[in-house]
Amino acid sequence: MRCLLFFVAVVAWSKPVEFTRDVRPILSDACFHCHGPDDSSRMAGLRLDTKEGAFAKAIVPGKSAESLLVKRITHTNKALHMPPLSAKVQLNEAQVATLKQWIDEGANWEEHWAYQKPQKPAAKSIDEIVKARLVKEGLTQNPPADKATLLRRVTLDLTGLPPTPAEVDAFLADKSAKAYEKVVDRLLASPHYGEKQAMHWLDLARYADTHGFHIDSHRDMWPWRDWLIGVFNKNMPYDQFTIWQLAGDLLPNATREQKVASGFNRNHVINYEGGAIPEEYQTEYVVDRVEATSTTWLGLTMGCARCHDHKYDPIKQKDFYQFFAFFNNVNEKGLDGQRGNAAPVLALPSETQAGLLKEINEAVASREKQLEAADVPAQVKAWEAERKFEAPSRTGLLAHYEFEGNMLETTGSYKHGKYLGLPPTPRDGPVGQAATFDSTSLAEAPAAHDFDATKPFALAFWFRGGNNLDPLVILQQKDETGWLFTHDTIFSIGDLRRGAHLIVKFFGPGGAALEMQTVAPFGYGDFVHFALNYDGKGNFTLLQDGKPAELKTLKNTLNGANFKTSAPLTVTKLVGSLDDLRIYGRELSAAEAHQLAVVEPVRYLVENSGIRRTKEQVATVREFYLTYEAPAATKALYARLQQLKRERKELEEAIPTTMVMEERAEMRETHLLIRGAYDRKGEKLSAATPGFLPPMPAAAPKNRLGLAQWLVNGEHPLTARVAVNRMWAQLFGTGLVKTVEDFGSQGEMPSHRELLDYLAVRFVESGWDMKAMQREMVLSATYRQSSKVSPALQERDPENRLLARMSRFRLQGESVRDNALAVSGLLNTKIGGKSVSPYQPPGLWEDVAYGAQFTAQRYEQSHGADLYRRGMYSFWKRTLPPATLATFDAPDREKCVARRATTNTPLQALALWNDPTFLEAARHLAEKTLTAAGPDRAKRLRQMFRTATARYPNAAELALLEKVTGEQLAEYRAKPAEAAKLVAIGESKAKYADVVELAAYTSVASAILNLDEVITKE
Amino acid sequence: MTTRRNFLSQLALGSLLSGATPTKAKSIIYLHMSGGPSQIDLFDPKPQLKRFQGQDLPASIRMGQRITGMTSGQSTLPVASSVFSFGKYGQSGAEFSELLPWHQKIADDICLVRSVNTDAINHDPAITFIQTGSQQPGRPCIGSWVNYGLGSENKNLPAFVVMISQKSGINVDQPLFSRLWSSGFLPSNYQGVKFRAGTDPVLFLNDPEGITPSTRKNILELSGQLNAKRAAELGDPEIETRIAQYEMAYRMQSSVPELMDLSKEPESTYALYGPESKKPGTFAQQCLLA
Repeated sequence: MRCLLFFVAVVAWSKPVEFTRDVRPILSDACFHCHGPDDSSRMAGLRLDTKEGAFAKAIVPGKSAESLLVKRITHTNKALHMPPLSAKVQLNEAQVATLKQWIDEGANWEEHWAYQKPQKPAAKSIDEIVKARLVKEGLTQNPPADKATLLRRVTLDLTGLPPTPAEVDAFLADKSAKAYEKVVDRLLASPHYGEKQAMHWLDLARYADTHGFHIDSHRDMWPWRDWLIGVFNKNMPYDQFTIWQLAGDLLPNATREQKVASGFNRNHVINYEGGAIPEEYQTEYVVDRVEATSTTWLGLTMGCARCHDHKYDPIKQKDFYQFFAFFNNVNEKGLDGQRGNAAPVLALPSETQAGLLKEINEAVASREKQLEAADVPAQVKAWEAERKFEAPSRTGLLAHYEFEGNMLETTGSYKHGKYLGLPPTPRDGPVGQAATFDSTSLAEAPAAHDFDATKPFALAFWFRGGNNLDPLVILQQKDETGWLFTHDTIFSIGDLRRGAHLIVKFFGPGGAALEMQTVAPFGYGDFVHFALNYDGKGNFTLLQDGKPAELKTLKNTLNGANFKTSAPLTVTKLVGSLDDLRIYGRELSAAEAHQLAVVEPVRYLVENSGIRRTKEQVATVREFYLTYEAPAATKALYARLQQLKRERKELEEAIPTTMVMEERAEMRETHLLIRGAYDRKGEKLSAATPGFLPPMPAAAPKNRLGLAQWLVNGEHPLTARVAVNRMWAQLFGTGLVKTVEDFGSQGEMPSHRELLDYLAVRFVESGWDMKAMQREMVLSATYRQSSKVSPALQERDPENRLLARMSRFRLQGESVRDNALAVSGLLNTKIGGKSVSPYQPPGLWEDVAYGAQFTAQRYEQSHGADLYRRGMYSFWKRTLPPATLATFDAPDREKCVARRATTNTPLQALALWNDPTFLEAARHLAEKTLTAAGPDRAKRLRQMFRTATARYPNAAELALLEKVTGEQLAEYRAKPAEAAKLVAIGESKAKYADVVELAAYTSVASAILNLDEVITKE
Repeated sequence: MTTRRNFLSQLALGSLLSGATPTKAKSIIYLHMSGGPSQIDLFDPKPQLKRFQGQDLPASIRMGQRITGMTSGQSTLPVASSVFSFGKYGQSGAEFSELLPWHQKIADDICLVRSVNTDAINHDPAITFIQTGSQQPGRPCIGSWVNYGLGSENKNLPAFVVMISQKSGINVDQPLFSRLWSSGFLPSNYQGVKFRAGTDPVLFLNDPEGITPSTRKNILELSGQLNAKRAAELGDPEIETRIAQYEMAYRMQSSVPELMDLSKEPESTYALYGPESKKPGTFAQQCLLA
């Protein structure tokens, strides 16, 4: 970590001491812990954070020698010295001197600056204030940056993308006085402006595409993200922007958009770990909302007051829970999210979808009404009394296991097989009972059944998979030769519906094998009937639930070898259920398969009418009747109804949803939680804003809407300051208050308090106009300065807090990616929509994944144009955020983050060298240049360098580029196979014919994309 | 160039410890067995469990403690003791079950802590708590704190390295999360660097096919020289840092594989770690690497 020195070092001032700047920080650091706002830990009844407390006995204004405070901090008796010698924070001589001087000068007391309403200063511009300060410091501003640098800077700042060479040309050519202003207005109107602003807001909103916590499965909040980008582009005023996000759902007759906006406070992590206690997590969600809201709008670390009164700021624990009460009335569950979005959810059908859904619902309702009128249960009852079923044919039936609590073979031999280990559990199956195996139970048939490659046979059974996710053998009859049924790893289809493919294997001697797999997956967790036919001549067919199912051959080395075996039929370590296993010495017809899969379960129920039917069994009989046996008109009606329901399901699955805020009908009670524990309830509280801030108007509703309106009523001391400070930090790298997340007494004092207030007042006066605010900032001479720095200034002001130059700092991770894609021409500029999955080394998600039955456990890389979307659209999995973005300091989005670190590490170098995104971009940059710039090497390199940096290389730089290009041409000429491999990186195909030349320029382009200048805003 | 052993000796603990108490520790190896067997079956027999076997957990013991949703629906909460037999070993008389025959032989060389307890009742909050001190996500992990507080004396390799033992294919065990090695609110360079099994232990460490060794060197040097010119022109010391980080990345390309290379380990070492230690990504091999 670089050592950072705040330029307003606390030393003994020859000038008068200012309380807020010089004194309060000392008291806060050294004294407040025991003599601060926290009632429960206050010592000796002394409090130094309020004027009344401090002046009661500790301070005599004008007389430091008589002040108890000074006596104690200078006391020579170790037992009486303050702070106690055991305390971590001790005062140095300079600090003691400052305190003395302050008291001697009259002990002027100011309340904490950030809690006082900003006052409009006399100064009329940003530059006036910055320059006045520089004059005091004996410094001057840098000259303006050159035009190309300025254009690249402002384009990256406002859109997150670099300028195109044509835009650079146009700006250089425009000699008018308004040239720069025109550019700024063009950029503010660009649709990419909204993307850039949203990119920062997503960190505050802790936006992600997964729920976080334990299983971390998929969620859809991208409709909220799309809304966000849209309103930044439309320049929605910040007050409205605030109200919609905190309470859009509570606005009168809230529109769909306003409800979507309220999703800001649904972006938090959501848990559904088995065994977790719902109330505990529901409490955490509310705490998270308090923290995110207070950090984003108030610049306060309210989270500190969850367990006790704040040690440094006047936030009481009670204030925390009164604020908590605003967010505690959401109609949510403590554990949710298994099936995608967690309630409350808003469906977002398109107009067409909404119309269609309405139509289908009406059609379904009318047909259900007709069926009801036909009194189906009475029809079924009458039909059952009449209907006589035929049993399935026993011709060629070699064996039949009914699994009625045993392993009895019932075709006539009546031999018992064996259950080994713990017997399988008998449970209701499709036909009577089924045997449910877990991994501790085995079964073995009494004898081998005859399966011979030269004879036809059929094998039919019911199967339902259990909870095991890895492939397990369903049934087998095998030693060296033989056969087995298994399935592949279970995967999710949609929300938690699970599927797998059936796999059939036959083995000949010496490792010869035939492997086949179903093309369509079967629903895992439901009973499925399989019937495998063999014609005796090498051909297999499969019937699934009585209908032909396609089998594809995965492997065939059998070549007619026989798979005959003397091993008995066994069930080994199966987790799942089996029922009604039949073995025939012939093939089954489709009608017979249908009889086994569809008719048999019904025959069993009808013929055993004494058995009390489950709900599912009643439905099975009803469905059979309506599908096959009812009068023609009723059958047609039912078929249409089923069809409509399928269509409705498909439509509903296609309609996106987003999570929103929604109030419960009955208020949830809020209590102060003792030590923050959800199950230690103290005093009952209702919603209120913190006592040390201006109160809410008496008439305001005491809900989120009232809270949001209070934040933006123009009287609030923090809202505007916090917002403009964040905008400043985006442009200048550091906020005027460096701790953009903390304006409290442990936060840093503003470097230019007057400037912060000027901007805050301007912002409110402009009607909270975000674009106008940023426009004013980027048009300032302060912003337009060159970023060059002399060693003397670097030493004096390493963090550029005095603004005698423009700050120069690395692009944020997303922009590092976007910039490379943009300069290479690869960038897909599509805005919004679902997140995408760019290249990522294999196995990263799988290392941390749970089971395949949950969503977002396996990384499924996107293809085609989706590989080249902006970084902000990368699928954000909280337990493993996008790898390269994380290397460039992107947060995991588990919590609200107001300020990212900007590190400089070797891992970043490795990613820029070898992430295929950047190598593919290098190749496209090279290809683009080679195609457009003609054959001259210098011209090519000048153009390539300029595309990436917005400036032409100087002579020395060009000489270096030319030299290395020559070496690289020689290298790849000698190794054409390597050249071919380099240009093959990435899914897009190289078009430039001369592969050696392309590879050589690709390597040089890679070096250019790795330049500090390219990943930095200068 | 750093060798494997000498890297390990430099890992993690550095200058700050040289203050008040002299320390012998040079590095910390922390094994976190997610989903390991219970202490009750290994080294903490709790003999009273046998007495209450099958009886409902007495209120005097539970004292109103909450229980996980997995069991809160049960009508009774019977006490169950270990089914394994325990004995006392070594001079210390430390207790181990029959499941730990090797620990029995080194009983006096182990420091057992049996007083640890927790409020966490579920997997995720429990392991998040162990690693970060908080059951809820968002705080820095212990490795990040050590890295932040003590740093590393090694300049060629990351100070804080994480290795995850892998199963074939997708996990069916309890999941892990990057939060367990996250730097939380500390700057992100304090987070754990994951060393992965296989040939690319650090993300993007190896140059892909087509980037020849001399190409890599040329890219490094070209961008380094151009960066140096820019640094001279603009005066931003961050550019010098960038140059140094690129050079370290280049050194890591050889130092990390060397570190991960177990081929020179004698057969006797493998014997100590068991046959699994020859398989990349297994727990045994990760222990050997550590």
